[in-house]
Amino acid sequence: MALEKTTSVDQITVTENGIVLFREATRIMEDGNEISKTYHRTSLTPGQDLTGQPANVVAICNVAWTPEVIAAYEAQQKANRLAGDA
Amino acid sequence: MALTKVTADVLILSANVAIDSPVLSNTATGTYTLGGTPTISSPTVTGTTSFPDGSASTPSIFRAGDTNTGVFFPAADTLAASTGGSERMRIDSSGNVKFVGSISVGNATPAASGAGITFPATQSASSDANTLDDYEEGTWTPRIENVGASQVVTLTNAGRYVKVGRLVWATINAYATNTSAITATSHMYLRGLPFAAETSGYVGSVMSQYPSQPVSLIDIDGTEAPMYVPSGAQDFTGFTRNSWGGATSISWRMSFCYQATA
Repeated sequence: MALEKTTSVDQITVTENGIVLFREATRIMEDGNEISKTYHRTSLTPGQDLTGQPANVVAICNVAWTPEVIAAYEAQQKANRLAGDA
Repeated sequence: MALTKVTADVLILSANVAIDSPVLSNTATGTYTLGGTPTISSPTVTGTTSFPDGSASTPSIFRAGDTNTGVFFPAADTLAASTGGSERMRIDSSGNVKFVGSISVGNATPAASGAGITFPATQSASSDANTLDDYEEGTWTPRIENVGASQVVTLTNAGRYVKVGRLVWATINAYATNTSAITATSHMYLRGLPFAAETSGYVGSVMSQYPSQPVSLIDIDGTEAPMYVPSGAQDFTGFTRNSWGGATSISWRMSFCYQATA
């Protein structure tokens, strides 16, 4: 009976406005059969600091977050911000 | 033909007899009985066929060589199926369906533990208003920042979430020791929501923030939620560190709901 714990990014979603949401799945395997699974989700907004994020997520962010996407996201968010916030 | 005997009503063939393309027909009401364990290759039945009730351990219709897995009839107007000698599914006379173990949709693998409905790990979203198409639970990484994300509060713990269809219920139970990273009068934004929210303008539920005052999420957009506090009988204003008296460390204990895009 061999137990193995693996963690991997099993889902990456890029929304229309550039937000990147990803899910890390941690699985406990026994003799190749999954006996437990947990998820952790993180979302990143265009232009956000990517320090410490998984390499494959960073790669997608770097492709998706063009200067135009970042600028458009900022412009969209301004309309939703609290009075007094630039 | 190895015809061995004919009586008034019975035709008896010797054992191991092969009959090419036989047609058994009867213009009157009657029954043909094949005794023993005859082998019939690819028969075509043009009328109805009946089987005995059978049971979970000895189903009346089973795969050759696997006598405890098949279909049986536990009662009138009732159909059931068994595997390995145990009942797994039943349809009763009212059309109700019972499953003993987990079931899955969307070609997902049914959960090995407990019993329930397993959805695909990646949602197969339905546009139908009456279709439940997703369930997921897990943890997420909340962020509390000023508007430009240049000032960030470090949270020492993660949040949790449960998503049922488009409804997301999320919690935060975290401790922040550097809330002074955000200037006392800067508005705070909760970011990093686990699922993108429906179009801007939707309102999240009021959440409680321990130990100070309730905070509201209004105009949740994407994965960002501006934080508000009441500023009068009918108004809200942006939540700042001064809202809780300027404390530099605080426990964040919140829960809120919102509608996801899918």
